[in-house]
Order: sequence, then C-alpha cells, then structure tokens
Amino acid sequence: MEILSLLAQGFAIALTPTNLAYGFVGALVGTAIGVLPGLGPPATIALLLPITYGMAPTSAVILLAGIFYGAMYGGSTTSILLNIPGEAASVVTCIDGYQMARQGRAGAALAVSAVGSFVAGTASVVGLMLLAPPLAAFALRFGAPEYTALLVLGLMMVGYLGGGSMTKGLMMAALGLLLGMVGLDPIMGSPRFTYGVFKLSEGFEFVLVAMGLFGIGEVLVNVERSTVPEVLKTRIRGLLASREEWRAAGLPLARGSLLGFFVGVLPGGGAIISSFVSYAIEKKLSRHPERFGQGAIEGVAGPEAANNAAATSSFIPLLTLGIPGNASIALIFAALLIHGIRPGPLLVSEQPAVFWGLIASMYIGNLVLLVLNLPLIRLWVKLLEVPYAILAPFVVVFVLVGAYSVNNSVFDVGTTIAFGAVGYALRKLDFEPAPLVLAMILGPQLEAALRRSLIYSRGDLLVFFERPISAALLAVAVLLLLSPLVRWAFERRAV
Amino acid sequence: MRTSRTLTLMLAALLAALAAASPAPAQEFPAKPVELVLPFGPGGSHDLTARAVASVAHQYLGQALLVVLRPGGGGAVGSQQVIRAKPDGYTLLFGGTGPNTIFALVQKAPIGPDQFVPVARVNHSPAVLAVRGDAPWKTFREMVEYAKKNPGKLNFANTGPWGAADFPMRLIARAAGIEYNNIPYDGGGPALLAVLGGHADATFGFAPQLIPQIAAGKMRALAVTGARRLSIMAGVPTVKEEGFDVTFTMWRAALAPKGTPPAVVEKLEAAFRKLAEDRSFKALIKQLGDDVDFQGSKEFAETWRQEWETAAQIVGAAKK
Repeated sequence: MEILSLLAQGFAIALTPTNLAYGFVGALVGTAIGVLPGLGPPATIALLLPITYGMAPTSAVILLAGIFYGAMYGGSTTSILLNIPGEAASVVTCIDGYQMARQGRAGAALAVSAVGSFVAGTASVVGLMLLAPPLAAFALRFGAPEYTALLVLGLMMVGYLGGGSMTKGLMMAALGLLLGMVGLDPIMGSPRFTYGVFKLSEGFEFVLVAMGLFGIGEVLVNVERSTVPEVLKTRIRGLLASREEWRAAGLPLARGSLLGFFVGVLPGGGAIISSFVSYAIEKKLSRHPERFGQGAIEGVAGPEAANNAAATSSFIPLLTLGIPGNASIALIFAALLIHGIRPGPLLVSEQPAVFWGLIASMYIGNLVLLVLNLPLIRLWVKLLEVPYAILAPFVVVFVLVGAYSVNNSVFDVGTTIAFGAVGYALRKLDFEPAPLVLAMILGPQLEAALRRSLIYSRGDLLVFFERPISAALLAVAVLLLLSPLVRWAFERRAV
Repeated sequence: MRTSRTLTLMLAALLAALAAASPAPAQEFPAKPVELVLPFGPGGSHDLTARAVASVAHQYLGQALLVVLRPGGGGAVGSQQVIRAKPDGYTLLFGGTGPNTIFALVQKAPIGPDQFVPVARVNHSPAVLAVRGDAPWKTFREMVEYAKKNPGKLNFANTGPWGAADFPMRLIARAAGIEYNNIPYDGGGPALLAVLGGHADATFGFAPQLIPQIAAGKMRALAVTGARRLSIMAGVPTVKEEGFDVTFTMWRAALAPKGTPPAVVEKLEAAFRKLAEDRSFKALIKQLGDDVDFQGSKEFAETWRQEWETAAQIVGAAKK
C-alpha cells in the first residue's frame, strides 16, 4: 500500500495547474514533432532545454518526457497516411498501416494505433512503477554477448517483414547491411566506403533513407498511376475501427505491450527492435499470414503498442541506475543535472518528488494524448480527400524540409532524393523497403556487439553459449530457423 | 502613369537591395550577430556548454551569439564550414579536443591548429577513471600493478574509438607500460553500464554521472586526468600524483578561421574573458561537472600545439 500513497503524492505534484499545463504542452509538442518528419524528439528536447532552466526540476522532466512519449503517438500518423515514417520505430507501421489507408481504412488504423498507444503506454507505466528495480538488474546482465544474440534473433525476423517473397526480403536485408557499413567502423574508427567524403563518416542518417525510400518513392510511384485518386479516396465505412477490427487488434496489442515493455528496458534501440519483432510474431501466429503487407490490422496494433511500451520502459535505466538509454533520455538526464539533481541508483529514494511526479504525469500524459489524438483522426482522414495532384507536391516539400531540418544540410536533402529514386526502382521491381531500412539499423549494432564480445572473450566463440541469456536467445533463433523443416517433416509423416 | 509607378517601385527595390548588399559602413565589430558553429548534434555536453556560453555572451559581445548546429563527419563538417567562411570574425567554431585534435589526426582531416586562430578556451572536462565498487583495487596504483602483473587481463570499456575515454587510457598505458583489453562502447552511458554489469573492469566517466554511483557504493573513482584535483571530487588524486606523467583534458574553445584580423580576434577574446567570469555562466558549467578554465588566444595556441604533438605520437604509434 506504500506504493499507493507514494503514487497519490505523485499525483498531487503532477496535478498542480503548472505541472498539468507542462504535461499538456509536452504531449502537444510531442505529437506535433512526431507528425512532422525529420526533426525528432532529441533535437526538439535539446531546443527546449534552455526554457526549462527556470522551472522546478519536476516540471522540467514532466515537460520533456511528454515530448518524448508524445512523439511516439504522432510518429505513426504520417506512416499510415502518407507512407512516411517520421521516426525509426514507425517504419513497421508503414507496411500495413499505409495499405489500410489505401483501402479506405486510415481512420481504423489511426484509431487502433492511438488506442493501442494509450493501452501500451499506460500498461508500461504500471510496469515501470512496480517492476523497475528488478528489471534494471536484468538490464545489467545484458553484456555484449547477450546483445549479439538478441540482434541475431532480431535480424532473422527482418525476413518476415512485408507480404512479398522471403527471398526478396532477404536480398533487401543484405543491401541494408551493406549500406549500414558506410561510415567509421564502430571498433577501430577506420573509415569504410566513405571515399574521402567526411559527411559520410557518420554513415547514412536513418531518417533520410527511410523518408526517401518510403515517402518520396511512394509519391513517384503514385504520380505514374492515373487511378490514384480513386484508390486513395476514403470510403468511410465508419470512421473508426469496426468491432471485428478491434477484436483482431486485441491480442496483438497485449503481446506488443508486453514485448515492448521488456525489450525497451535494454539501452539502445529497444523501441525499434520490439516494433518489428512484434510484427514478425503476429505474422507467425496469424492464421492468415498472407494478409500481412496487404493491410492487416494486427500488423499495426502489435508494433504500435510495442514501440510505445518501449518508450516508457526506456526510462527505467535512467530512473533506477542513473544511466540514460537513448538520446532523448540523455537530454532529460542533462536537464536534471542542470537543476542540481544527479540521477543515480538512489534517485527514487532521494528525489521521490521527481520520480513519483513523473510516474503520475505519465498516466495523465497518456490520457491527454488519447483525448488529443482521437478527434484529430477525423481531420487526418479528411486530408486524404485532397486530390493527389495537389497533395503530392506538398508531401515532397514536407519531406525535403524535414530532411533539411535534421542537420541543416543540403547534402542530406540530396541523400533523401537519391534514396527516393532507389525507393521508386524497388517498388517497380516489387521489393519491400522495410527489411532494407531495419537491416541498416541493426547491422552496425550487431557488428559492434559481436566484435565487442570477441574482444571481451579474447576471440573465444564459446562466450555466446556459456552465458545463459545469450545461449537461450540463440537457441530460439536456431529453433526458428529449423521450424519450417520440422513442419515439413511432420506434414510428410501425416501423409 | 502605371508603368512609371511600377518603375519607381522597382528602382526603389533595387536601391534597397543594393544598400543591403553593400558592405556595412565602417562600424565597429561586431555590427551583427556572431555565429558559433557547433560541429555536433544537439544535446551532448558540447552543445550544453555552447548554450551556456550563448546565454550570457550578448552582455559582453554587444551582439547575440547564435549557436548553429552543423553535425557530421566526427566534427569535420562543421569545422570545414568555418574554415571556408569569410575570416571576418562573424563565423566561429566551437571546437574541441575530439574533432580538432584527435579526429583531425586519426582521419588526417585538415581541421587542426594549422587551419584556425584560437579566440579563447572556455573550459575543459577532465576524465575520471572509475571501477566497480566491489573491485579489488582501492587506488589507481593498485590497478596499474594488477595490469602490469596480468598483461591484457584488465577489461577497459572506452566510450568509442579515439573518444574521451580511449585516448587518456592510451596515454596512461604508454606512461605506465601496461597492456589492457580495450573494448569500445557506443558512448559514456553504455560504457558505464558495462562496468556496473560486470562486463568490463574500468572506464572513464564525467564527475556528475559518477558521483551518485559512488555515493551508492556502485562505483569507485581512482584518479582524474587533469592537472589539478576536481573541486567536486576533492578526495580523488590526479594521475600525476599517483606517479604517472599524464595530464589530459578535453577542452572546448572558440576558434576563428585563419586570416581573421588580429584586432577582431582581440575583441572577441576580450568578450570571452569577461564571459568566463560571469557568475551565472560559471554556475551552469559547474552543474555540468566542469570548471571554467579560460585561456586567451596566444596562450591557448601554445597549449593546443603541445597537445597536438603528444597526440600525434600516440596516433602514430597506434597506426603502426
């Protein structure tokens, strides 16, 4: 019961008019930058950081945290409507979300994603409140070998993305791995495939590649077809999701939330990995996997729930260990430092107001985001009624301005256009770009983790099998690889 | 009638454009806001320091100081932009050891002391060597002894190849004659996490991040790399006190492109000198775990040159 009284104190802090207002502003700004491609949560939080110098520390954290998880809500909007992933975690939402929009079910996809985000976000706050310390201990057990095994498992899932052929998916993943190699290598810092261009030494910026391949590529393909306006026209069969759609989304939502919550605790790309692992799981479990890639609601519900749950649980390393797990949370860490609070293992006991105030504000923030996003759906869907001839140039401008805003660089705009052309070619040849983008993110992480493990073990490969967590993860990977073989054997015996 | 009116308007517009384009009358520098180019993305300690500088600069400069982010290429993109800018003092680089000494040497990028005139060094961040709270070594010397007896056994987590942790450890290894297992992590958070989780033995961190870990008994600080002890960690000796001739700090400084008139550099230097004494600026920097450590143009040019030469030896030795 102690937790309840502490939570009550938290609500007393979060519900003061000032903090309520900051929470609301955070959620609003977060939604806005989630919708706008390019400028992501870390850049926005950095811009707003100086404003928080004069605030109470709890207010500052409430505002900045709201921007971070608010962006997760907004991120799916452009993915569903225009096939533009605003941030890494919503690449997967493009696959089926955009197909739903093309079939006139944009409203349903947006509603499922908003409600799913709310359910997952709230469930994850409950988890954060109750399970933070044991989970932090679990995160500490994740060394390089465990990450390697997790990433191997993740990379295997990439082949399941989309509805096309597995072979083509794997070809795309291979291309993505190659593109991920561009830049300074993560262990020695030697340049690879940079051809003396310093701009390339940090590799291709993920957002630019994704916006080009998906957003620009899609526009180019659509411009070619004269039938587009008819296809995109929203036949409003009930603006929001139907009862069957909710029923289909229910279990994926629950599974996505759980998965996202646990994977999100791991510092690094928890939200991204959990979103597409959730997609792969739903496709595997579905009785009609062929519907995936054609507008399956499960393919939106699971990943959206997963990335929101992961966004919330990614606060756990900061709040319990004092170590930020991603760039946005590192800025919240900086905000606390400037206020003279040094987050560490004792934060919860030394600064209960910050911890419980933040927890309470997250409950409120998720509710605010739901109330904010549901009415917006009507507006977003209206947007699709704009004739494509008018919409298309706006989309291009929107994407290119977004690309420029990432680093204020014209080179980046060029990169986005170039990947747009690649995206067009891929679409023409019936290749799915999602495996490429995800392999590009996972490849360098896997390489770093693998090499780090081997430096740690001084070249001994047994390190992956001696440690229980990595051995278990690799065993799952092997089972997954063998599963078609096993099924084939069973089917043969049955005949 | 109508045409003549259009013509007049066009003429007026043309004149206005000409007036805007022609050089400002010999007004005193600075006649317009000065751009401080940050060669990194938002949110790092470099960014936070630059914003602390910008928050008080207008009082001493008489003009706003605008922080412009130009990330990319390990700092090379922003650095090169400033080198190519007109050397009139209106475009400065907020440079640092990372891009302008280490990256410049390792990647052979022309963004070092030959390309810039220093304006002023603002501060430096000393690195703190830390081990897990239950580690067998109570002092820096004990750790070095262990590494000497067990070559290659000490697992050291750096914060990225050639980064703020990797470089001082290379200096220490050279001075102490030790071999260690150098494991690169992607930033300070992951490196600290690796030590806390028992996946590595030691790392370099920054004081505000380590202090709460030390208070909770999770980490132990063994030494700092600066020339003096840190005010907020007064109990921790310097590496030099422990008997090894190594001092290394990551500096941050305003740099102007080569060819900037000396009078302009002097003006800027004077503004930075006063800024470094500002109380709210000092307080902000202290919260970030650094001490303000001002050095003027000439003095810092010498410091930088010395650092450059030491670093060149380390880089040269590693590349062999």
